[in-house]
Amino acid sequence: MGRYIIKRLLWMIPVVLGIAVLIFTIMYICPGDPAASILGIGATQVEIAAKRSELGLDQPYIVQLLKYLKQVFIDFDLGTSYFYGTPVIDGIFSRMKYTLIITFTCMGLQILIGTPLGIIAATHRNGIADRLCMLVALIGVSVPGFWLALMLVVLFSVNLGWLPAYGVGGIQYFIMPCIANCLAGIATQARQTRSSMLEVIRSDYITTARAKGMSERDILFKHALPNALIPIITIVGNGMGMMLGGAVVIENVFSIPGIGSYMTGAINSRDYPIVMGGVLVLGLLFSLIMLLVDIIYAFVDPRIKARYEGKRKGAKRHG
Amino acid sequence: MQTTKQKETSFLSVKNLSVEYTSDDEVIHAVNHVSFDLQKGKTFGLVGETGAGKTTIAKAILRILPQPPARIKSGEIFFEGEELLGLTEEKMRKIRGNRISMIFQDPMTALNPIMRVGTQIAEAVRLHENCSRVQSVEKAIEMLEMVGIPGERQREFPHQFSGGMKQRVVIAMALACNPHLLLADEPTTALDVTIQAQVLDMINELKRKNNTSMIMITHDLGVVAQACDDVAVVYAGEIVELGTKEQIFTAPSHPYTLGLFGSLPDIHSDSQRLYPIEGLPPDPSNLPQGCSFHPRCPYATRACSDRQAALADLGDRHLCRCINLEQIQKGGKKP
Amino acid sequence: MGNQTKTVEERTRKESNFRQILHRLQKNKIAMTGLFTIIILIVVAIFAPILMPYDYTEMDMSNMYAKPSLSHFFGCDDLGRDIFSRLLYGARASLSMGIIATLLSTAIGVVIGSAVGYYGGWIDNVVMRVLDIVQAIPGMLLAIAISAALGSGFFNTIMALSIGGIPMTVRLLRGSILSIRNQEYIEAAEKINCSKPRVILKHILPNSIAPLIVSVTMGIGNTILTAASLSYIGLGIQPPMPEWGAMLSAGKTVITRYPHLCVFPGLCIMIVVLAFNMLGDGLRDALDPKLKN
Repeated sequence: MGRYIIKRLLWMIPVVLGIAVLIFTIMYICPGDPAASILGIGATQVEIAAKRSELGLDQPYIVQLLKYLKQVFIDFDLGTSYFYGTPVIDGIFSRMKYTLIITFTCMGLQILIGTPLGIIAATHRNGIADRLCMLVALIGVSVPGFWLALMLVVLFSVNLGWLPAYGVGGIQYFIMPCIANCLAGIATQARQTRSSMLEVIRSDYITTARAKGMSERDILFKHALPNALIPIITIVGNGMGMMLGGAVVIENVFSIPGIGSYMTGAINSRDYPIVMGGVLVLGLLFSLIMLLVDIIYAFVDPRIKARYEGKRKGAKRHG
Repeated sequence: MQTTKQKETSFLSVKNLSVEYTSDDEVIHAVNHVSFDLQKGKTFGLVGETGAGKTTIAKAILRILPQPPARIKSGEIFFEGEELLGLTEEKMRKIRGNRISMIFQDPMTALNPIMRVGTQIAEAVRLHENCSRVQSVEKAIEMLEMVGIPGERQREFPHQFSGGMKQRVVIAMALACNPHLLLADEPTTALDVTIQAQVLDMINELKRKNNTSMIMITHDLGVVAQACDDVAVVYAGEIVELGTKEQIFTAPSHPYTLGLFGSLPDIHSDSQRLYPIEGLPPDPSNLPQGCSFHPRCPYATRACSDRQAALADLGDRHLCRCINLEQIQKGGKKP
Repeated sequence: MGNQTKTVEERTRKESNFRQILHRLQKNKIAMTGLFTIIILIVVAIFAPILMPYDYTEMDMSNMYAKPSLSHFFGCDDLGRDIFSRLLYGARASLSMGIIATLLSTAIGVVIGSAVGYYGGWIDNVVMRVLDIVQAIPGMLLAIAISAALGSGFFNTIMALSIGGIPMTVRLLRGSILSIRNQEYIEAAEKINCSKPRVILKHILPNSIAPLIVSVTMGIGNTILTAASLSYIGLGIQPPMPEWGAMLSAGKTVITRYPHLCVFPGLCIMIVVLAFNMLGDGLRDALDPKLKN
């Protein structure tokens, strides 16, 4: 068990490095000249050339890459904003909390609302509850989150005046952003849970349980649900990724000063260090969450534990 | 109502059971007017090809057929004096796993993969017997030992056992509450040949010790020879021949039964090829007119496609469903 | 006894399999609605220049922010352009980006996935590790990063959109191949000297097609959503080309006074994505009916 966790942790290292390499490579092929962007319009060619050499932009790819990796992982420096001149990493960390509030709240809502919906749909298969849940879920995965956000603003801020349209503060500032961001997640969770449950329900071991004389309710909670929820853990992890991506856009709609707004603002001013820095940090966050997901998996599914223990102690299976 | 005569002579009595499945717009006639009796302490074999309806019969007895697609169209099942199809679900649950148990075909998927083996057996015990958790685990250990698995392994998970061992666990679980009737659905089919014999012996041994009656579903005549007392040959959801093992093996009468025996390779002869039964099993949603077997039958006559044969008694309660029996007997065995 | 008859059955039923699938799909009303909607949208996109009542760049400042009326079905935007016409023309951008990007990523994914799945070995390991890294960045964020790097524009956006979908297709193909590869009929084909690419094409790909079709259909829906989101935040496709997401962004500033600038583009996005999802669901049910019953 511990062996599995260590192995998984070690795997994080190449992934984290890989993400940084990927981001750097994307930045590298980006057209446009950082030196010119920093100096602004009106800089002379000589000044630009000098800036380029100062920034090391004339050196080969590998050298620049290694410099970047050192900069990110050893100096914890994500570069400097072209526009503001301030360190990107400061900007990100000061805004992190709002993004995290939205993301984790949405995750909670996805699990708490989506899962029961999926279970109800699966157990009332082809009945009214099922069709209704699935119709709502189908619409949920098709609605653009940012449009839903705008419509909610029209309804609740403009027409009814119940909720504020932008900014941060108390809970009321987060209600609409979270609802808009998590709808797709809830819908996906409901659909996947239903599908996993249906698959489990037709398993042979469910028939065995029935043949033992168990009641349908006991079968559902003791045999079906535990098995069905295991693959859903991965869905929840991926949902996190969707939330992070969605949060970027939602923050823009509600002017919430999170990492997302920071990034979308930077897009307009071509301030690439911020955009790439933001993607890097959120990507790392997501990897951490997937790591957590894998570890939870190992705790919950005995087959995974065995794959690692068995190899160590030699063949444990007896014929 | 059941007569006292029936109460005395039959332990299990299936009468005129018909089951159909509805899928989309098709109706599949899985089981057609099946009737048979089982005596206490005996083993009754249901033999036939895959898809003949044997499993459906067993599941109907235990009432674990998935009721939306499946429907018990007609029939009565008398078990130790009670008519099972008329019982409430609650009463039926008390019988399942307790007085009637079932072992399924594929041991690889029959156990909950994330629950310890001992817990699954103990669960069966606690469902029907009033005992504490500790006691139920003790009973589980006892059952495992009985099937030849060391008791400490009750803490292990199904994936830590091989196929043969998993099947033993399944058997241990089925026998945990000392059932009076055991329904065994091809219990050795998914196992290696060498393990098959072991498991079969074990089932027979346990059955003998506890005087458990058994219905053995199989497509393997060797298993029938080893384990069964009485046999019913099933084709397209119907019983086409019924009798004791001796009767079926020494005097097979129905063309299908003859075909089954004829297709067995003879270890003593020097055969160049196999003799399978010609043709394919019928589509259960579109059964042939008249006798279901006639399209594949080498003895078929025109009358066969006109009407359904009834089960005729060949003497000594050896029943056979064929209208051409005399001609077949005269002509001898199939060429 | 049982095994022999099964393969004979399989062969005789293979031809009618396709018909059965089509039949099941036709019976699914939701899927058919989705398909019908998609066909209409494609027709609209192709014939947009003819169907538009006004030119999509035609500005009429006297009609700035005009509310929906008979002459302008969905009203006008901040520059007096007819929203209805811009929506019709915008269908081109959304549909073509969605379809091209998804097909591109699927094609690349199929090639990589087949090669990796079939040959295995160290190539398999390396490729899967690289894919792990690509998938470690959430799809939307990856699209943002690439799109920001390349800049806005039709082809740049297609590039950005297609990269994210590759890992999933690779895994799908690879999974399909791994599960079939060890089955005996592949071994039999190899033994009678079928060349490797032939084995892949004739035996493995047909079995992987079903999940692939579902994946492509749902993928188009998702890609259209992502494309709209990119345009909304200033990447993707920007004015004067009409793109539904970009139109939402422009409408946001005046949403309190003129909500109609936002309502209709978003509705269009939703309808398109819904149509593809309905079809995708229907395809999934038709190709694997066991899940339904």
